[in-house]
Amino acid sequence: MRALVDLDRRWIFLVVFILLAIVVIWPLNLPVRVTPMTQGIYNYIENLPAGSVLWLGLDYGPSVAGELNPQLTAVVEHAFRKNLRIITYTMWQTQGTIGRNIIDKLLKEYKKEYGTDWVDLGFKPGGITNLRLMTSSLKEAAAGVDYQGKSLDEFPLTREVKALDKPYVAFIIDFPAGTPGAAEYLAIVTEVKGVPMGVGQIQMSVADSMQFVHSGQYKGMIPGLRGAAEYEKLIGKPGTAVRAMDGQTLAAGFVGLLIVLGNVIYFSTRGR
Amino acid sequence: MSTDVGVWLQVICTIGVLTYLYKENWFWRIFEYAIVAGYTGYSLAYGYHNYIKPFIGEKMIKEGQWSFLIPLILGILLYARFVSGWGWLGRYAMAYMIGYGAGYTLGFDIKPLLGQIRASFISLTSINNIILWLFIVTSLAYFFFTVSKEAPAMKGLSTVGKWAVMIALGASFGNTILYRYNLLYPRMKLLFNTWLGLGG
Amino acid sequence: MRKELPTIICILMAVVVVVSMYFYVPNEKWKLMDMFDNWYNLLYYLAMGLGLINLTRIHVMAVVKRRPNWVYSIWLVLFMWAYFILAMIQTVDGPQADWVFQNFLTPIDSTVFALLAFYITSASFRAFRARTLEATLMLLTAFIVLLGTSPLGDLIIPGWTTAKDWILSVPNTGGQRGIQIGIYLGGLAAALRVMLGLERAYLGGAR
Repeated sequence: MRALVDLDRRWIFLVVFILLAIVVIWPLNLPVRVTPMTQGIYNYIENLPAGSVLWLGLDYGPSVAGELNPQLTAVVEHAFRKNLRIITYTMWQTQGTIGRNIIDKLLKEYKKEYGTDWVDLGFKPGGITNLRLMTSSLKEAAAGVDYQGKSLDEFPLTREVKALDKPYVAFIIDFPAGTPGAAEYLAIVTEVKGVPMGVGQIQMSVADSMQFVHSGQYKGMIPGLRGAAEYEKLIGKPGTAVRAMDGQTLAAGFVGLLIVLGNVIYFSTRGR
Repeated sequence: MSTDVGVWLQVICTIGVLTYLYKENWFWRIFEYAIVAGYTGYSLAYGYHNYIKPFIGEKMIKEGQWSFLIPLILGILLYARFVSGWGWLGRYAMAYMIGYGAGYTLGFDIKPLLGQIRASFISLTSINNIILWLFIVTSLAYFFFTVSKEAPAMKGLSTVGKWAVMIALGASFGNTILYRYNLLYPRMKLLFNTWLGLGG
Repeated sequence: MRKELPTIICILMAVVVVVSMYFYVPNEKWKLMDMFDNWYNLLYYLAMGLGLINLTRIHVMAVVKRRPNWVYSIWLVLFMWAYFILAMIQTVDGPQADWVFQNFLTPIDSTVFALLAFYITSASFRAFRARTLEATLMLLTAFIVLLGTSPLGDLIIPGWTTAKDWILSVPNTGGQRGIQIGIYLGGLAAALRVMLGLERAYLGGAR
């Protein structure tokens, strides 16, 4: 048994690789149950009147796109169905074109129009200072232009929305991979201006965001990839996240087994 | 199998990084250095086009908002560190940024903190609320270093607090395991579905 | 000039934010904080040029002095400047610059982050032991959350997800809030030290 613990860890790496390859090629498609947290944020969007402005903070880079892209896809799809209008803004320059490509595709699918139903402010540097500037004046903070350098005055949506503030913006959802992200939105926008917010959280930060959901400071949270899968189920369009739950199933099964096995070995060889 | 050059490049990068699992090697290092180089070049070019050019070129010079001269001078002073004996000039810019950052913390972090404190005053009428309240109070006691932990009341409180913190860390750890697999899954999809065309 | 003036600037800037936050008077014409925000943003990018120069200096020196791994330093400097110049000419959204970002930088970044899945698996097997009561509590919580978040938990015992949700929203929230309040207080204390001029580490370094 001891030999098992002293095993070269590269064997474990190999097993992980092979097991993941198997579920990627032959999907398991296990059922996912919707939990109250995801339902909460879904209901909030569901109850927004048509035409309301939804502000999406795309504060992540490519490293966590695997988790947050499916969340963003599901939320934008839901918003377009409800005829909400969207403004996107990122404080992460590594966001690049990640979110834009997703929304662009859905824009065409739902026959919406850029400028009327969606404006992408793109990345603007400065982090929290620029976020605060957004609450004062969108034009000032975005240097007057959207991601492609076109004047915000050209678009009906940004002609109407003057700032990241009430009454222009009805709801904020931030998708953060770290700082700056949801904590900054909470401190600078929601607590000061009173615009309600929710968060599309990466799995790693789910546990430490719970207290903000409990306090009502976040109106809801989409918890990681599992949350994305639940959201896909809620909008009736199971997609990448539901598929990717196979990775989680494997993680839970294999790592869970290793934890148990490791402890069995530890206790059975402890006295010797 | 994919015939897209972009996909092939993505696959080479993915495999290159994965080779690190076997051991550190020359192939991995190419990508390790590339990411540092790439992001630095990217950030600076982005900053120039989206900030330096519109603010200095448009707002300052064309529109005559000469107040931007102040941050411009402060910014240039940062480069004094490359001139021997004049490096201290860069402190002005640092002082501006650090002072402003500290002001932000003092100005904006109190309200979220108060929100957390306010939400901790809950009616102790359900077992869930009692557990929640107990864990909030005791975990705070655990981090309270100005009173000796030897006092019996503090000892008891901080022991329960330690359990609360351990449960919180356990929940974070469980989620972190899943998080890492969530990130690995798309890489495997790239290798097997997109590139090799297997399953999917 | 060398120490006093930077300290005064630092204190003044902190006071400006705090005063405008707590004694805020809406005024369309006099948007002092907007101006200071813009200054900060501009400074941030002017400072980034330091990174390019420093990286170039360090790696050129590594090549000149034939330090270990100097060959990679050549690659770093060449690629950094090539990509920088390309993105300067066509902006980072330009066709070639974006292609490099999507197909070269993105997969490297994503895979580096994904590598930890392998290490965390191996660590769970080797180091995650129920040695003490505290370790056992941590281990059990992690185990319940792990299986409860994946679809597997409900398959093994129906209602496992509900147990996971309870742990996350009750005991976990209690513990996390204690940690979070501590973080807030620590941050505020550190910021207060800066505003009072007690913390002057940023003056160090360059002489």
